[in-house]
Amino acid sequence: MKVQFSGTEAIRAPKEQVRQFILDPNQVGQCLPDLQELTVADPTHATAIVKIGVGPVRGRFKLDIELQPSGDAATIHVRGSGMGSGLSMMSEVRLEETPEGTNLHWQADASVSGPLASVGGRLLEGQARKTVEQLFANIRSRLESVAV
Amino acid sequence: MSATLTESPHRVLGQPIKRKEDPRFLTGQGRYLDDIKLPNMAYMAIVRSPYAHARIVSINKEPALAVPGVLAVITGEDLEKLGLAWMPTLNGDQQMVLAVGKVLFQYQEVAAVIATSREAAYDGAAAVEVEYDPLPVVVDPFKALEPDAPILREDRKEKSNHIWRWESGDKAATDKAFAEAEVVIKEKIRFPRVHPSPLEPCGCIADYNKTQNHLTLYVTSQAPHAYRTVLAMVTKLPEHQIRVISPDVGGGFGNKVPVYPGYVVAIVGSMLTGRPVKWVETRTENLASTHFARDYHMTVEIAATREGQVKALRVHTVADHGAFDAQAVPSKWPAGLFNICTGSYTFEAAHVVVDAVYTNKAPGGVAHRCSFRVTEASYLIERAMDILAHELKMDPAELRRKNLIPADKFPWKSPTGWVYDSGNYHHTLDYALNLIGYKELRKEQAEKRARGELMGIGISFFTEVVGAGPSKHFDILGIKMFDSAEIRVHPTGKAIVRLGTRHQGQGHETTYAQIVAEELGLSPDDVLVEEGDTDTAPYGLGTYASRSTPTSGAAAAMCARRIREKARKIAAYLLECGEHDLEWADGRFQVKGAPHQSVTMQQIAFAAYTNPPPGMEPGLEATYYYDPPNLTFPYGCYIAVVDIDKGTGEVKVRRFLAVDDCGTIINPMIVQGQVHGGLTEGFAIAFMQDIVFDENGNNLVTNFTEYMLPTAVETPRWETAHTVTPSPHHPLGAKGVGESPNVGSPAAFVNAVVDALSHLGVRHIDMPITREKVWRILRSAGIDE
Repeated sequence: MKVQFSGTEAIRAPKEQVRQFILDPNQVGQCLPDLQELTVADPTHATAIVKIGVGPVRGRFKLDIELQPSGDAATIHVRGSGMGSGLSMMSEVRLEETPEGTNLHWQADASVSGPLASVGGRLLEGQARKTVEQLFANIRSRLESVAV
Repeated sequence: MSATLTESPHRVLGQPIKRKEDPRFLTGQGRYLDDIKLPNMAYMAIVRSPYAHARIVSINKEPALAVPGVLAVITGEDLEKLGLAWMPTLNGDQQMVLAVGKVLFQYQEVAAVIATSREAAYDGAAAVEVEYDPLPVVVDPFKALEPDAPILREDRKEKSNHIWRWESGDKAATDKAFAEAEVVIKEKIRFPRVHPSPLEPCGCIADYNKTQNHLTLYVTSQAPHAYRTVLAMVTKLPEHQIRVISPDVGGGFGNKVPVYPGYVVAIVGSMLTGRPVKWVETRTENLASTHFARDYHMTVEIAATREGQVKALRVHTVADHGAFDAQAVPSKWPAGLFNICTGSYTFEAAHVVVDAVYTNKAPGGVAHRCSFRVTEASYLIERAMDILAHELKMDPAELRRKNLIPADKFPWKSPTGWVYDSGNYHHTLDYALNLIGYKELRKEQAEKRARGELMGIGISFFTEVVGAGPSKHFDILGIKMFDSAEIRVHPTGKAIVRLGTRHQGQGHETTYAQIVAEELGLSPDDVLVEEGDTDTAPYGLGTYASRSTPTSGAAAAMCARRIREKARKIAAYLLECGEHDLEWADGRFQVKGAPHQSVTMQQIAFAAYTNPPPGMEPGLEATYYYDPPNLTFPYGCYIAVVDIDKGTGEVKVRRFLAVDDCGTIINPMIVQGQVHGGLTEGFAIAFMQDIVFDENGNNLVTNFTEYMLPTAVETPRWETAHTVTPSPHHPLGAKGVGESPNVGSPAAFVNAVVDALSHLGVRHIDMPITREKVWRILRSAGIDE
């Protein structure tokens, strides 16, 4: 299954602070929904264990996270496996200064392989969208709680 | 060889005798693979690929080895050291046993875990860490042929996804006929990828004894002897040290013909651990990794006259074989017998081309009519004939009548080289049309159409080609496709017959008993049929392609006749007369003109062991290997009547009549059961089934909520009837029937639905014809409730 999502988070924080945040694997890693463990390997890489459940399929996934600067923003690449399935998410993040702070525009291509794609079937797209949206929503709320 | 049977009071053939095997099946006493438990037995689970195409970066066994109960973890690298990472397919290709370097389809076997319990094996499999690097995926066979497509099979010399091209017929004559044709029709027709889904999935127990260097493999196999030979070739164990036992098999439909990677790994597992290793796949593993059927993308053209006389047929097919070309076909026929696609009609010329292609899908092709592709061929021609009728505004029954091969033209040679042994097609067509009341149905349809109601009638007049096969043309891996029988008559006149075939529910234990009983003057109750043990049964190629009765059934009859020849000598001795004074009548030998002077087979058998004629070798047994002189050509006329709900698009099959001509019928009740089962499969294929992949090569139908099997609720009521045109070359005149309904019915269903919608401009709908498809057609035609 391949899906594309996009969205915008209006963050009440300055652009430079947002930029540094999304290039920090420790910060971004902690925004992963249902995170259980996070290990930062180096300034651009981390490994995370997350809980994932789609319909009847539930289990733990091991994710490799890679953050790279791209223009004045970043790419976030997540790849992982678990429960005999594989997933990947490649997202481009673009930042825009606003009077209230920063608009974080994101676009994500997610791909799921294996039994999760088959068994999760019709539920999967909605679940994938929810998870990706939650990641960026978590980035916003974490930044704002720091900013406040 | 005479095809006629003497009428006598001792008449076992043709009787609807209740199946001898049913009491044990119906009372839960069948002994299937998973019922077998050996002392000290270990269990195996397979780690499968989530990706359809990916490099394997690394495999970490350690977490699995740490799981309590895990005895061993086997990977492709381990097998490579043993020379077992790849194995030959039955079609000249090779396939990975466990993935080496990369995976080529989702659910491909990557590693195996052996453990002391089934649970520990699955826990261990979940703990194996495999790192993949995904590669571009090719699921569309047409895209696979494009120049920039990624090359899937890097192990081959040819750097292309094209596997082979096969041509049949006369291109020049066909092109000429098309150039001169008054009418030409052309259509693209897909036969979906389907899976036979036997109730019992595949499995085995490998029991290797190191001190004796002996392997016993209990396995769900339709062809145990072929397995033994393949295993001898793959494992290098001496063939006499391998015993293959196929216990009761819970449905096969071709799915249990191939040797699967799991069997080879289980054997290695048993060698490594010194224990018997059981592997039974799950439903999802069965659906997603074992052999599918069909997946033929066909383009058909017919050249005809304006009056509806067919002249020539042109077919081009792209065949999606998945990641490995793992069909089971005779070496001469890479696309099976697909060139039977001129069907039941008097085409003068034909040209058939098949291009086989690799994609990132599970390998296969051996299911439902084996790899012989007769179903695809029959569906294609029967669909195309309806399209031609539509084009010519002719009644489809009339078009068929005009073009059917006349009875006096048999044996008839088709433009692609087949010699049809026998048939009386016009008689069968008329019989079927009368039986269903065709004229009245057409009248009813016209009235309903005038009222805006949707009703359709679909005809399929198929010709099957079964009983592979004559040794001059047919082999599997070079082994000729004869089959065999061995009969031993015991001193008290009871007999055991052993055969090289293996039934999976077809009723062999009854059918063969009837044949032997008929030939030897015994009661079927006194004949035990045994199959499935390579140490006891004579060599044979197994049960698939409707070949059991045409080959082993013939072998059983000929073997019994061989016994009868010896029995005649003993009878002459007992009756103190010359052999030529005797005649075989009423199931006994009697003196010509003095029928009260007779001996039964029981008396003869007793004498064979207690009082044989001086100089004669004692005992009463024989073996016969039957090499059929030709294939057999069962045929039939199927008619479906459907009503379509304009609001929901639901198709209701109101009536379905199957008139089969399978030659001499040995047990009409068993034949009816086979026809009912095959029609139900055909119904599922026409309306429900397709193995669907997404663009990543994810199989989206890996369980029975997504891949539908009809239950009693959906299944229509079947009407069956027969005409009998005995095969002139089979010892009993029998032709085989197991697959006829699966071959013949899909076209009847689809023709009926298209017929119901033809006035809306609909010419063809690809299977499966779901409610949604019909609903969309109705809405786009502006039809509302």
